[in-house]
Amino acid sequence: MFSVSFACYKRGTGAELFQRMRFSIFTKIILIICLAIILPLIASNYFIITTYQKFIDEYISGIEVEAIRTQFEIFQRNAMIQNFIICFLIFIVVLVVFLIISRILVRPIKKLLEGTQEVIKGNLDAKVSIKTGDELEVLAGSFNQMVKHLKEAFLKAEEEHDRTLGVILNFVDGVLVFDENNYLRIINPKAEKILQVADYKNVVGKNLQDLKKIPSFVSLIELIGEKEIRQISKKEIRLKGEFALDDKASIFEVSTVPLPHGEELFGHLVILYDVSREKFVDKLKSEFISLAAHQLRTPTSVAKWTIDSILKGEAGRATKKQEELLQKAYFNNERMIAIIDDLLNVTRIEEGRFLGKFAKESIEKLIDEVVQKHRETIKEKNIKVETIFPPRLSSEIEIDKESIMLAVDNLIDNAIKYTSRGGEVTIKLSCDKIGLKAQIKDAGIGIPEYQQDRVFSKFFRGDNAVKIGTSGTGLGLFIVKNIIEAHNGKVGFKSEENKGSTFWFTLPVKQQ
Amino acid sequence: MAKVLIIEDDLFLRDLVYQKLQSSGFEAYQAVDGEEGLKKIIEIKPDIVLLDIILPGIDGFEILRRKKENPEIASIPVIVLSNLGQKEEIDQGLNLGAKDYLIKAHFTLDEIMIKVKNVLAP
Repeated sequence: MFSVSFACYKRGTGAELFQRMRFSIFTKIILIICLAIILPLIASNYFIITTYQKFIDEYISGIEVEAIRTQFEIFQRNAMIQNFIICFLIFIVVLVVFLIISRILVRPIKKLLEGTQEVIKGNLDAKVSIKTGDELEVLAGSFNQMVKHLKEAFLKAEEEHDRTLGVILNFVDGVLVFDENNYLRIINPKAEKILQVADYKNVVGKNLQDLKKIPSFVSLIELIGEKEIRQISKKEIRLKGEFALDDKASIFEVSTVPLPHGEELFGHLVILYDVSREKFVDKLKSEFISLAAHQLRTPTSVAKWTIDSILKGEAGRATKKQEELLQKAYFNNERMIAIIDDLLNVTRIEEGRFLGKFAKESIEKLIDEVVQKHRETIKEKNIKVETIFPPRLSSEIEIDKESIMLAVDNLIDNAIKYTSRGGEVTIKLSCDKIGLKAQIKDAGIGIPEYQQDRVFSKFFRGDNAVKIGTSGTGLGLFIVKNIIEAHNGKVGFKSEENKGSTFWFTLPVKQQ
Repeated sequence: MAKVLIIEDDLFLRDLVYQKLQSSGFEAYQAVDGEEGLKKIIEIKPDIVLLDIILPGIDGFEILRRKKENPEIASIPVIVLSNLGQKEEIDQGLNLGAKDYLIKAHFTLDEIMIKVKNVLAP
């Protein structure tokens, strides 16, 4: 199945080349020979006539008129016969000369000409055989050699072309090749199936605008560009495709690759990679985690409510020791609830549907709210929390409040959790035209240097944090990073073990 | 005495809430699934409903929808008490007319009782 239009090498018919030839060498030789005939004829005639004239002039003086006439007629006939014989001889000589010249010069040239014409027509098997033993034979030999090289090069190029084409045609992903003017040149069978093309001839040779008129191409063309092909990487698109289950669209990742040729561009490659299966498996996984987490919420609620009511003495007073143990049970149940929340948040992040509506919010207020939420722990651990806000409020920032709140909460919670009693936590906000920067500095245990590159990865926990027995899921900072990056912000940290960490994030004022 | 109906399929949770409601001085009623819940809302006309979302048969959202369409019971306030806590679900619940949307594990029973009282006597 060759769904290809070959951009074959430019082969003219050669006709235009011959149009430029006004006189062939043959005609030129004939012309020269004609001249060669005429000149000696004129010369010989001139000599014959002058000779006879002289003769007549000498004769006329003293001979009678009648006798002169007969004599004159004889002269005249003689002159004509001589003339005729000379003409005939010259003609014979010229003919022989012409035949010889034609044989040694014109015929081999003609052969060469026919050979070149064959090559121009595309017949690379053409051969010219000239056996003249002179420069023309050498020329013919060189010509044959040249054609042979040309054929080899051509075959090599064709083989390379076929191989490339074979790779494209048999590629497991859909591939479309556009030329530098954005005309579709190649579409492989896989892409035909994805884009529901019955016959490649219907689409090959069309440009982007024309392709957009085909219903199955619309969404693809809108993605890659209607006038010029944009550079995109792994953009998701829904297309009907061949494996579409129950008429549902498959999901493809579309990438465009410019094809550079030296400094110029000779087209674009558009690759359609089917990610439906990955998406499906991913969805199953997310659904499973989501379901499991939701199911876990019922027993944790029962535990929470039961322990809470015992602690409140609703089932009779517990002893001090019992109360202590129940406190621990309650605390750990709360941990479980937090883990479940984190798991659900991570699933949502991975499903790409974490962010809600963006609205203008005050970050200062949001930070205050979060600090308020932790006031009991802050009081209990006697931690000094200092907030430094810029003089002018940065309320003009568009965020999804709930998720930023979660991110800030995770950072402040960490800062408080890992700072020992009586320590200090500083939250500093700075703001400029481009965006704001928040820094949360603690005097905590810090992050060991050898682990610092993994801080934002899923389930990361510092070895020192695990050792001192603080609770945590290792999901908090992963969630923070995802939330901030979804806001086009950046997140980072500086940390020294046993001295403390400073986490920071930025948020751009304007969301693109 | 204010009548409170708890619609919840999990036995333990239902029991705990039921007992808590009684000890907090409410006239408590219970239903195990959506169908029974809807029936009891119409029969008893409680002053407030505590509603779970994931229920066998008719789910909590559907109950909210049907309640809204029935003028007899449309005005009865509902507090959703669910395990589902994603933004869309909370929005859906509130859009369907729930007074409040509580995620079970995030509140103690006492806190839930306060919410109930707040809705009844604002």
